[in-house]
Amino acid sequence: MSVSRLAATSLVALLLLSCKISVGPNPKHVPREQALIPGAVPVTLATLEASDAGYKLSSAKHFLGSPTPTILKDLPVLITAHDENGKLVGSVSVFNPREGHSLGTTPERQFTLPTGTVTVRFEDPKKKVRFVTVTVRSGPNSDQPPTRISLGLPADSFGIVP
Amino acid sequence: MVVQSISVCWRWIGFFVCLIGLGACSSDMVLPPTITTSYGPLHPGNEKSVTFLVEAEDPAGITSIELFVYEYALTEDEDGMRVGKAREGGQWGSVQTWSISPPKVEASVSYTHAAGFPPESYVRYIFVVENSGKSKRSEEWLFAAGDWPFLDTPVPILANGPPGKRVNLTFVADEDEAAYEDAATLLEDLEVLIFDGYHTNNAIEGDRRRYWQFYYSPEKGHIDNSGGIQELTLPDTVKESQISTHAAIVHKRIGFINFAVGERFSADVGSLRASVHEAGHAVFGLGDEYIVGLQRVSSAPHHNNFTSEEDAKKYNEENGWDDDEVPKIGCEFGKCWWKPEPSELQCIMAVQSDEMLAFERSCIRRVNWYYEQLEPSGPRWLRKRLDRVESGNP
Repeated sequence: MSVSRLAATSLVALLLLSCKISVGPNPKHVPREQALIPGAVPVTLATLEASDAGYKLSSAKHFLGSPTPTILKDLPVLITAHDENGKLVGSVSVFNPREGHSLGTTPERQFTLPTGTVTVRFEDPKKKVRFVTVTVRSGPNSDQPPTRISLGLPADSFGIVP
Repeated sequence: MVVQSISVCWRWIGFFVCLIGLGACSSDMVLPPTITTSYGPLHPGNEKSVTFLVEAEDPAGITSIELFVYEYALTEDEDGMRVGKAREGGQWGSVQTWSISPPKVEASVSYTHAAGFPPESYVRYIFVVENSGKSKRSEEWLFAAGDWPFLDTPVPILANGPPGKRVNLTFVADEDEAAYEDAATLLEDLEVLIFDGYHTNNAIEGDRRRYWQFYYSPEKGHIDNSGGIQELTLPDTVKESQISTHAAIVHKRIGFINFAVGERFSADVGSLRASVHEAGHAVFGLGDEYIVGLQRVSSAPHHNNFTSEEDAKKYNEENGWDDDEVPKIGCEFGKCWWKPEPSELQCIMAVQSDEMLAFERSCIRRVNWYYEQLEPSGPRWLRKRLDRVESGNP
C-alpha cells in the first residue's frame, strides 16, 4: 500500500472514529476487585491540639490512606514533616484551627477558640517522619515561634501512639 | 459549543482526531449526552431495595439507556488493605436496557433492585446513555450497602475515584439533634443535601460532580454555639480517618447561622445555599464578600477579597476585566475590603438568599483552578480559554 493510500485510509478511519465519542467508564472494564481507598499509600498521621500554650501532639500513627491535600499553600498554619536528621519529608498548610468564621458575626462575638485540633497526613512510605514543625503565620498563636513536635513513632509502629 | 467539543475531544480521543472530526461531523451528533444519576436510599440496609435513577439530555436525541450494577463483598486482605471482591452469585453486569424510539431530547428512567444487597456490600453502578449519533456518556458511582464492617472509617455513600484527586466530604450528625437518633433520617437529609444541594450548584454540578466524594459517619459530632464560641467537634474516626479531607456537621436547628472552622463546617437541609457557601470557605479557601466582624483574606490564586483597592484593580486587569469593577465590601477594625467583581453578580459568597446561588466570576475561576490542581486535564491554553468563557469574559 502506498504511503498516500495509507494516509487516506487512516484519514477516513479517523473521520469515522471521531464522529462518535464515548465519555466515561466502560462497563467492559470493571475490575473484579475494588480497593476501598484507590491509590492508598502509606501515610503518617499527626493530630495536633492548639491552645494558648501552643501546639502539642494529640496522637500519631502510620496507616494506608490518602495524604492531606497540599493545594492551598498560603493558609495560616504551615506544618512541615521531617526525618530524624531534620530533612524535610513533606509540608502542608492548613487553616488556623482556633479561628472561627460565621455569617453575621459581630465584633462582640469575635473570638479565638480556646482550643482547636488539626490533623495532617503525610505520604511516608518508609516511615521516616519523626517530628513536625508548626509555624503559625496568622491568627491565634501567630505570636509564638515555630514549634517542633516529636511524633514518638518508632519506625515499625502501626497504630495509634497516645 | 465548539469550545466544549474541543475539550471533550482532547480528553477522550486526541487532539488531531478531534480537529478532523469536528470539521467532518455535526457537533450535536458528536457530543455525548449530558447525564445525572442518583440512587436511594443512601447506605441501604441489609437486603433493602435500592432505586437507581438517571436523567439525560441530548439535542441529537437519546436512543438508549443501560444500567449496570456490580456487587462486591467487602473484606480485608492479608496486607491489611480493604477491598471489595466480586461477590459470588451476586449481581454483576447489565440489569436493564431501555430503548427509546423515537429518540427523545430528554429522558429519565429508574430501576429498583428489589432484592437489595447483603451485609458488607460495596456496590458500583454505571448508567450508559447513547444518542442518535452513537455517542455515549456513562457515569459510575460506588456506595456501601448493608452493615458496614469498618467501624473506624466513614461510610462511602457516593464515591468514584482516588481520594487524593477528590474533595472527600464526610457528613456527621449533630449529637443534639433527636431526629438523628435514627440514622435513616440523617441519610434522607443527606440525599437532599447532596442531590438537591451540592449537585445543583455551578461549582459542583455536571461533570464537576466527579470531584466530590461523600461519606457519613455513624458516630456523631458536637456543635458548640454558646457564649460567643463557635466550635465543631468531630469524632476521632472522622478527624483521623484515612481519607476525609473535609467534614460537615449536619443539624436541623431553626434559625441557626451556619459557619466554618478550618476544613470543617455546619450544614443543614433547611439552608442548601448556606451549606454550599460554607464549603466555599472550607474547600476552596474563599472569603466572605460581606463584613462579618472577622474577615479573612481568601487564599491565592484568584482571591475573591482584597485588603487593597489597588490589588483588586490589578487582579481585574490581569484577568481581562474592567478595573473599575471593584466594589468596596466594607471596613472593620481599621481594615477595608474590596472584591474583584460587580455586586450585581450576586455571588454565593456575598449574598443571602433562600435560593441556591452561583459561584460568580472570580470565585468560579478559583474553583476551576482548584479542580485543576486535583486532576489536571488538557493543555493549559484550552483550560484558560474554558475558564474565560465560563466566567463571562471570552
